Amino acid sequence: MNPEPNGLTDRASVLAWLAADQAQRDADRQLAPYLNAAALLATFKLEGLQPDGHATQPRADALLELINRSRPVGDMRDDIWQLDEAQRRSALRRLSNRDSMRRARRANPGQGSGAIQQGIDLLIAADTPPRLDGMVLDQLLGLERALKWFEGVVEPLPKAAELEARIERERQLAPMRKLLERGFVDRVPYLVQLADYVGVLPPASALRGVLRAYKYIAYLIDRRPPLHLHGPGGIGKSALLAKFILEHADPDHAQPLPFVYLDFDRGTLDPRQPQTLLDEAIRQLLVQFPEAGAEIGDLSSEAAESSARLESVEPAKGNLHQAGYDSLVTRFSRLLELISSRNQQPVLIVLDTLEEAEYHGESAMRITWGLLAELLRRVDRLRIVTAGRSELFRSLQREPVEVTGLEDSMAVAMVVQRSESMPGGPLLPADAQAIVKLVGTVPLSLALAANVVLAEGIDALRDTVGRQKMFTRIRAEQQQGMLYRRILDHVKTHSAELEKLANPGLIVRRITRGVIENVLAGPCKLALRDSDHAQSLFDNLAREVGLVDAYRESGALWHLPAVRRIMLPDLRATLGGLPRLIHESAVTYYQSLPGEVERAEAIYHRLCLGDSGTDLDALWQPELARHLRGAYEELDPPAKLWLADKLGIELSAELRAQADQATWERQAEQRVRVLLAGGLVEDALQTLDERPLDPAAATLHGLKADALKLLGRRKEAVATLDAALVVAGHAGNHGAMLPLLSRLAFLHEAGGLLAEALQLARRALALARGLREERLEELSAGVALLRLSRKLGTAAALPAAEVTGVRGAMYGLLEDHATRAALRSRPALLMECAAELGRDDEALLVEAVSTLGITPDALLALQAEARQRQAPTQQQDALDKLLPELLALRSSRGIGQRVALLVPLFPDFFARHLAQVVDSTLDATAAPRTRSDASLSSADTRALIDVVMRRFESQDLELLAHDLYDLPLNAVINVSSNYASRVQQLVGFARQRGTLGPLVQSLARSRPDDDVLRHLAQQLIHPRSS
Amino acid sequence: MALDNIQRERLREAMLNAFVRDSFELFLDDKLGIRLDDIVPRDKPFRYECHLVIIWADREGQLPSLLAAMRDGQNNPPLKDLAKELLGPPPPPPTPPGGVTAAHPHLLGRRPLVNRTSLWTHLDEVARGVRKDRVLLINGGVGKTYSQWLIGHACDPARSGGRLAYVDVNAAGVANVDARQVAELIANRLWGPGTLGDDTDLAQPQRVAHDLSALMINRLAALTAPVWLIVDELDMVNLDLSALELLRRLCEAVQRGECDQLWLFLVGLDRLKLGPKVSPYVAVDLVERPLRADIESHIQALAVRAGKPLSEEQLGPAVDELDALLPPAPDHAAWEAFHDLLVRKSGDIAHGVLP
Repeated sequence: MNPEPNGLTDRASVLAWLAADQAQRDADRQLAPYLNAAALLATFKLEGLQPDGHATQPRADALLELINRSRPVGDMRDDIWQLDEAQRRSALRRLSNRDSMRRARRANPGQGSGAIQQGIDLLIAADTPPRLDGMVLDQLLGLERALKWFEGVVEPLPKAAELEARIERERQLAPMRKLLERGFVDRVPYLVQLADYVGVLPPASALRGVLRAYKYIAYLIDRRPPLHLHGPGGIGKSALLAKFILEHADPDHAQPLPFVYLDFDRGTLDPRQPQTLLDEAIRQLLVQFPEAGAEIGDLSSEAAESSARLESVEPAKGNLHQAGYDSLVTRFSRLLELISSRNQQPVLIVLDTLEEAEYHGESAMRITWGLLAELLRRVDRLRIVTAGRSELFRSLQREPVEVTGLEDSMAVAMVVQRSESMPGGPLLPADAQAIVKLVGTVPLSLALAANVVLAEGIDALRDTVGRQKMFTRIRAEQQQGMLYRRILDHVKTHSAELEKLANPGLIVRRITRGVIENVLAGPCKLALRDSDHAQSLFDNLAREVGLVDAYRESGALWHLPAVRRIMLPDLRATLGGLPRLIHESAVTYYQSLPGEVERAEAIYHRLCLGDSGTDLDALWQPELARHLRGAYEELDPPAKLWLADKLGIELSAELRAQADQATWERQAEQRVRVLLAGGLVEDALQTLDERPLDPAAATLHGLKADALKLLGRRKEAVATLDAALVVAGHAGNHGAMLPLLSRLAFLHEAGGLLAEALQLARRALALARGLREERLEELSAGVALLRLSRKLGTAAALPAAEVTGVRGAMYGLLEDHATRAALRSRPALLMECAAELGRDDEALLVEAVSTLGITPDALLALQAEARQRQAPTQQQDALDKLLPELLALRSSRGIGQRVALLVPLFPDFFARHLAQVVDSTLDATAAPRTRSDASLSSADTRALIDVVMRRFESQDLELLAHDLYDLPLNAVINVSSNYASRVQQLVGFARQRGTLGPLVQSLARSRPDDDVLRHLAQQLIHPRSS
Repeated sequence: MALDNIQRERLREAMLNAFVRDSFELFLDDKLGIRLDDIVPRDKPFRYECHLVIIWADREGQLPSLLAAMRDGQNNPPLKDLAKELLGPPPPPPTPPGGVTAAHPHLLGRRPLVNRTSLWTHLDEVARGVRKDRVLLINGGVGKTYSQWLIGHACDPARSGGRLAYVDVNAAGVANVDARQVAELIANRLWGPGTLGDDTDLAQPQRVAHDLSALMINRLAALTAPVWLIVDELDMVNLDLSALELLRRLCEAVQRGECDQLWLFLVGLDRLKLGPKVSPYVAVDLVERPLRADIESHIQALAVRAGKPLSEEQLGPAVDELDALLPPAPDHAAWEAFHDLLVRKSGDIAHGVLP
């Protein structure tokens, strides 16, 4: 790039800048009366703007200058402007006090409206801050925006934190308020059922009280399965939940119900990754109960760190995330308990739009249900309500409640309510009754019918012809829902041709002039005169922005997915053989067209026709996937099977059973990966046992070895890998051999067979280099080699030049931006790289620490090291400032970003620490996860107590105990006893809980220089080897 | 590229001398395919209309095209000359991949630029195709919006063939900024006003964000020429969950390469708001207080350019004085004071009177 644009490359450029700056200042001075006036207006109409006081500049010139310091709001033709941020701040500083500001505001009493203006006016109206009570969301937001401008200029102002807390609380309820703003008719039986389940309302009657008490007991016996509302789209499930939540959780209530609302329509919620649900749930609860945050620590950041670790779980290297996840669930449960007991109420968790979660497959649902079951097991007063379209898989425990249409009287009430705000409204009950008879009692249909009345005008109901016409239209609306509503709303002159094109044209996803001529003209009964006629219809349809998207592809219109989602089932049910005819014509039309989109559309229509997988395979290319992603939901099971495989969507067990071997293998791989990441190892193994594995299916054998290893069946894992390696070796399949070799190296390393592991890593590295494309795999094998060489020391028998060469090659790989970015998606590998290469690549260390966080024992170790070696002043200052702050949190989780600030000061320590974590993670995978019976001899126990007394202070134990058990030390031991007794009690408590191993390991990591602790930790991991 | 107020005024006056309303209307229609009535309010004086066209072109990233049309597509010599001057000489070819990053500029047009080396390096690498990041979050202290000039310079169509689209979420005039508003601002800028489609009152809010995201991603994936999209002042507004959801999905899709003609710059957005699934994978440039060394390098570079290189004895006290004005996290007032002093010092340097 040219560093100095516009040819300003010499002295002239400096002088030009100085002159321009001076001119700007002069102009600002002259313009001050206008700038001051505009600064007190959220937005202003240029035409009517009056200056604050006397302006010397001609008005026309001043307004042009003002434009240079403002930006248009919306369409420039509306002539509405907003002063630039810097100018506004500068003008407010110039005005400096509320009196001057009020005077400036008075210059334009008629200008400015809306919530932001209201915020400005409130802030200058009086010399005291405005009261926040009773403000609605918009008012709070307007005040917040205005506050940013006034901060540092006038005082006193509302407290930003308090304002933000109120906004967050209101924001949480905003989607529900929006859902109900057009009215809600009571669905008493469901609301009562919900109240019974949750147990929040005072019983309506003695009998109800008895029932609820009974229900409460029943919950205890049946482990309180979630109450699951199910019913078709538009039946009102979300509205029902919104009503229930608002009735009980509105902050205006004396004792609002604590709740979490998780809507799977939100992309951040991934049912395969329960951390994402916890992350959002924690955020919502802390909004409602901010004071709980201080006691629970930085749970929110901990959830984020945990999610980051989960992003790419590498089971071959041990379940790095599992311990963190378990701790997160424990701490979240504690948060729920705390909130529930403080408020003397249950806590409600709602999971809505479950059909979106089901889309990810049964394995994802099982993982989500695993979390729910765990939370219900741990938290007595937790109530979970779920909602979705299906009744859910039978294997998921739940109490199903089918949501059906409204009662007739309620349906009538809803239509009347919807018509209340219409000109001439509300509708008479008799008219509403007639509409209900016509469309039934599904709320969405009733809402659509009310919209037709709105479009036609209530007066039309008064005369017979109008009434008949309207009812005909409503009938059409009921059948064709949103499509007709949109057409009727937007086609000013009802065009018969356009309506014909829209129905049954909605059967196709994409419309072009060619599609109109060759595919739709016949089925839509369009008498096309010529190409121009088709083009004219295309152009007219392009204006229907509520029906089609004209900007997605030049020369083509795409039906909006939202419209098709609602309309397609109805259309298919009512159009008879027409859809098939359209699909056939479309296949004929598209098959001769070479473009990517056209090829994807040809496949789409063939799928709709039920063509065979073999025919479709011949047409398939991976780049077509993005064009077909939205089609999956529309298809019938056989087509779903084919497309799911291509798009990587998990099939149900029934469809999986029907799949051919190759498809089954791909499906099994995907499912096993999800299950392993979710900790459902037995289920993963069960999936692999569905069919005999092809000996050449290296990936599945690798995954099977992972599962076996996680179950502690190391020998079987090694045998599985050995066998698969032989097959892949015979076939000369290096791509398949590489991950198998890497896994085997890790297994041997974890089993203490370091020399064997080193040779395997060497082979893996050579293979990866040969494959070229496998940069991350090369990195993985390279750092494994470096790690093993470090562990073996001189016994490695590796030439120093080879180690240096590998190290240099790894740095070379890390210089590539793409590799570096990809590394972020492999947290385990990131940590391994940072451990071996971080000493000379500080950014890598920072990245690893900030992404993955560190453990409390590492903080203690850092503190001890800094004390011991008397760190230089700058380092000591930074440590002294940050460490007490971090230690005071009583948990080091969720503090990665803050701890990362210390990395540049202690790079060696952090590199060493990460190496230790990598080593112990690998060691831990060698030991079965069930080693809760690990114990020490009495001599070792004495040695342990002795070393703890010598090397740890009470506050250190407090931190470690809090981290391990999520309990303060005084809940574990009697803190008033002497120190020796306290240490003994802690060890006893750990033994009793089956957590002696983790406690000793944590102590050893806190004092890495202590040989006794290291020996004891080894003793607990590998009792036989020591 | 962006013009300062003096340049805008000169251009406006040259346009007034070169056109009457009718000929200007024809010129815009012929050369840019734009109808004057689609840009400016009705019944305004022609002088005002000319000025608004400049503002419009600036906002829409059309300034280079407008100036090129004035240079090549009309016959008024003063306007031709001015357009040529404002467009500047043709830029040198971009540094090839692997080449050394050019030193960052100390003056961008007529704006001083202190300490944006990290952003400059990032943009330079993006422009050269060395860096694959498609999304950049710009956050940190006061001065974030200044980044737009640097991005605009890097994305100049004359250099990268890209189009700059600037969206300011703070200029929506509404307090509650949701997915609909953000999508509408982007759609208005890229495809024109009213092109997003209707709002429906029947869908649930989260479903709206879901559908809007899909619609926007599909459209952005269909762009046929490079676009650098800046969404600015995200820290000045309170984004609701649906707006964050939309931004999150856009970031995910763009970073994954689904929109291969789009580069996305989000100014003022806290990375953590993108959630744990997305936030670790987007690049962040933090606007920080310049170091003393940055100020020193800036002053020295200006002095050299002005032909008055400074001795150590002159440089040290001037830099110290400037450095002392900026606290660790400077606010607008501190930056204003810094800017005032920088101008005074630079004036003294240029005139050779710095003690």
